[in-house]
Amino acid sequence: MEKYIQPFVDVCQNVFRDFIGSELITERPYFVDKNDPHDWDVSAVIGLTGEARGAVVISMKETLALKLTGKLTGSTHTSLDDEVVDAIGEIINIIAGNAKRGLEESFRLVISLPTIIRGKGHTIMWPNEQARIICIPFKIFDNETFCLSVAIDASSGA
Amino acid sequence: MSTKTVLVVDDSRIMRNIVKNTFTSMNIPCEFVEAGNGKEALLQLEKQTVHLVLLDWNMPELSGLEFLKKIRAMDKYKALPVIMVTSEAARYNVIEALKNGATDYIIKPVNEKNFREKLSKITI
Amino acid sequence: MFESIKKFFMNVMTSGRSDETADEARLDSIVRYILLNSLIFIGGAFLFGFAFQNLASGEMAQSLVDFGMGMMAVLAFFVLRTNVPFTASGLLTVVPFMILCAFFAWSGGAQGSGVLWSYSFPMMAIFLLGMRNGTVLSLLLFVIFSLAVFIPGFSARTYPLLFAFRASGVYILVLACTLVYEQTKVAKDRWVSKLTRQLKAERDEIAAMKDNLNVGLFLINTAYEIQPQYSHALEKILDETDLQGHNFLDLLANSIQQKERETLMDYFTMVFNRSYDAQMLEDINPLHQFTYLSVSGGEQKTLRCTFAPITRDSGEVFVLGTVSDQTFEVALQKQLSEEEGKRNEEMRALFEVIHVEPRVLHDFIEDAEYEFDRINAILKDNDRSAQSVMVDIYQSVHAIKSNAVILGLDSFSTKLHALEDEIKTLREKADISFEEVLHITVELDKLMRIKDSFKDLIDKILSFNVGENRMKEEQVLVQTLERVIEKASSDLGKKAALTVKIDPLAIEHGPRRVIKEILMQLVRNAVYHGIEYPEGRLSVGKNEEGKIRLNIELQGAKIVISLTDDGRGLDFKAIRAKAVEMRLIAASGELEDKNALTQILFMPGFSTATEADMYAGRGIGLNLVRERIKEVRGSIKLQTEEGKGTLFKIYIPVEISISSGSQTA
Repeated sequence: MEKYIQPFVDVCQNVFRDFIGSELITERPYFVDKNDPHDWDVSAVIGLTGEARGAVVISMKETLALKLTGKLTGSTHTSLDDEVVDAIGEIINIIAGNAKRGLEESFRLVISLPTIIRGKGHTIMWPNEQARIICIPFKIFDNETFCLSVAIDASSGA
Repeated sequence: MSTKTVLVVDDSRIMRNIVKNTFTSMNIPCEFVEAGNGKEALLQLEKQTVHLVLLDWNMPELSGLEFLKKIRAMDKYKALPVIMVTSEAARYNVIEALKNGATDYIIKPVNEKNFREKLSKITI
Repeated sequence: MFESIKKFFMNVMTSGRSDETADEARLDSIVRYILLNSLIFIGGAFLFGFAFQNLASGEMAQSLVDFGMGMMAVLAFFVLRTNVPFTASGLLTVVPFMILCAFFAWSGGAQGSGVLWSYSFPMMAIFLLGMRNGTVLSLLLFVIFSLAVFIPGFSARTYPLLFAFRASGVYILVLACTLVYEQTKVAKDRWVSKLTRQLKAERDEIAAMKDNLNVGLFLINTAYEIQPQYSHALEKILDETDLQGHNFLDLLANSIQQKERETLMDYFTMVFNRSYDAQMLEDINPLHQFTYLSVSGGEQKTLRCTFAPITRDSGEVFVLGTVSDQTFEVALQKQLSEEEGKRNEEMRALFEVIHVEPRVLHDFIEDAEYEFDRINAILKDNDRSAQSVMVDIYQSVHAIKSNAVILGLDSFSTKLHALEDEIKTLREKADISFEEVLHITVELDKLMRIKDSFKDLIDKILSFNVGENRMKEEQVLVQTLERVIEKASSDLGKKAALTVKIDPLAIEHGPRRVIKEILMQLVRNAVYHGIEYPEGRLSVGKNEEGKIRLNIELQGAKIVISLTDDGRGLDFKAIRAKAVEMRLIAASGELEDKNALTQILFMPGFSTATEADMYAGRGIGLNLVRERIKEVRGSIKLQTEEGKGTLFKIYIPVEISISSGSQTA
């Protein structure tokens, strides 16, 4: 499974560095129960199919989403409006696109277009059966965090 | 059928016993002579008339292949039936053995059926 | 020079048709052309000769006729060179010739030799114009001929009657023979062309089979050269084109070693010479299955070859070879055996799981989940360094593993042991990368998935078991401890038995998990270090079987756990030696007092076990015990007497107990 996760981690770091201009601090991964409630405000879901099935989700709080939008567009927003969602979507698309190149070439994996879900306490429908999600936290702008969550089933036994 | 003398050449005593036992279970009247390597085998050949040699391949002192080459060079042993008993199923090794004069080969583990098949092809 | 004259000559005689493809039918017609051209030249020459002769002798009319016919012959020659059907030129030549023969028969010629010309006519006519037209003209000539020889007034010369009969009779003979000959020839031709058609059809059939085979079929001679006729598939399989004349062994240059090539040559010699029967040859066939890589590159494939000797009519011996591409089948086979291997492994794991009593397994799962949550909490704690995280995670993984080992879940414990090793390596490193941590996380997830599968299994089984036979807490504990003793005894070759006296209330209000952990550790130690080997015990007058006694009771607000064994007591000498080795005390002089040495026993990393294998632990044992007791605000005391045994007494206050089943966040 790591062979699928590592590219996403690397791409996140590169994209945030090159696109947003900020360095990410990658923190220790931990487990999250699928059914536990979370308090992220917006999530982007990238689906994976092919020789492995699952999803990669990037979740963050409203404050970070607003900050990121500010950095990208220069405009300030006070709530998760459509423009903010678009901006986040833009960032996620780039991440997915870059990860796509690495993963689709090296493995027989197909990466879907990301979908954005917003709203406090939203639920993410994970396509797999297992109960645990691996969550990799990233620290940005000194005090903001977002999380890259991964749940992948390798059908060929990765 | 008169009793035949069979020379069993193998550096493992256990293997020699297995070979002897398999033979005996086939109810072929024969006497056994043993050797632990090629050199001893040569000595045994000198000492008595041997009708069949069961030859292991990997042995110290004189290996199976070298033993075979040596005896095929000698007129009196040119027609002596020699069955190679080998754990090396590699075909290239078997061909080399046959090329150097082995009459036939058996792949370990040996069993009655193998022996019968191979023996039926040669006349002792 | 000579060549060009020859070519010119051929061109003239065949009217330019000698270049066309020569098959049976064609050849036949070329012969006719040559025949007709010959007739034209010879006949024409004669006609022009006669013409001039007559001219010279004043016979103008005669000369003109001759000349005319000569011109017709010339005309025929040119017509023949065009695409006008043969018959046209044929008629142009044959009819004048007929007229000539008739004329000579009529005129008599020198001494009646004029009739002789006619005898050549049937052959010419039938050969050139075919049976039907030739026969018609021959009969026509016969009529004129007969008229000339039989009717005295008709011809210029008078022929004797007997002569006439013989003359016409022979003519009929010649005609008949020619007809017979032509007929046989026609029949023969028809038969030959039928045969040819048949052969062609067969050849086409074989070619069709050959080219549609997906097996490469080929012949090699004693020089290993591939013969021209080989199946189409061969090129595809060997990734080479234009194979004829190629040395088969050279094609394998990228696929076999030099030594193997030599042996292969020996093999082929055996095949050519039929040194052994077919079965044996196949058994020793080195190319029975091998990896092939074309000399001109391409994909690697797995090929299978067979060889058989073939002797042609000429006496030459060839070897017929077949090659087929087995890559797919071999890969499939490999996949199947891998899957079978996996399936077997799963079965084995399942057997191991099924052999554990469901309640016991249930507890194991609960404990594993508890440890896992502990691990997760450590992971989340960002204030810790990666190294300290590894140190703590190690303990938890070790705890799960020890339990797995005791329950006989070998498959699972092997995987846990592997993870333990990885963590052990990492905890020594000052610098641990993200990738390494991620790896451990992923491995943990995998192990937890296995645990989930146990859980599913148990849930299924337990769902049958609801209500009945639910074991009591203390029974579960006793069973677990008995298993520990059993395993440890059988591993070491010792004998030990457990007797218990447990107050159920004590367990109910106590921290069940902690108690279980502590007791498992102490009981294992008792068997490992306390109880002597059977011979040893007998020699000091004890029973072969060691006794381990467990007492759990409530004393006021405290749970009192007493664990005694009747073994040899603590070996202070060994403890001291180990302590010195670990530099915990100075090597010199005074025997440290027993209390101090006892304290050392509980220090982390201390173990008198010489090898850190799965069963004897890695020096966490008593340290773990002390830590756990501290967690529940308890205390531990020990008493020991050399040769007699050891007693552990553990006190756990009841109020500050962590209820069994809750999980730390």
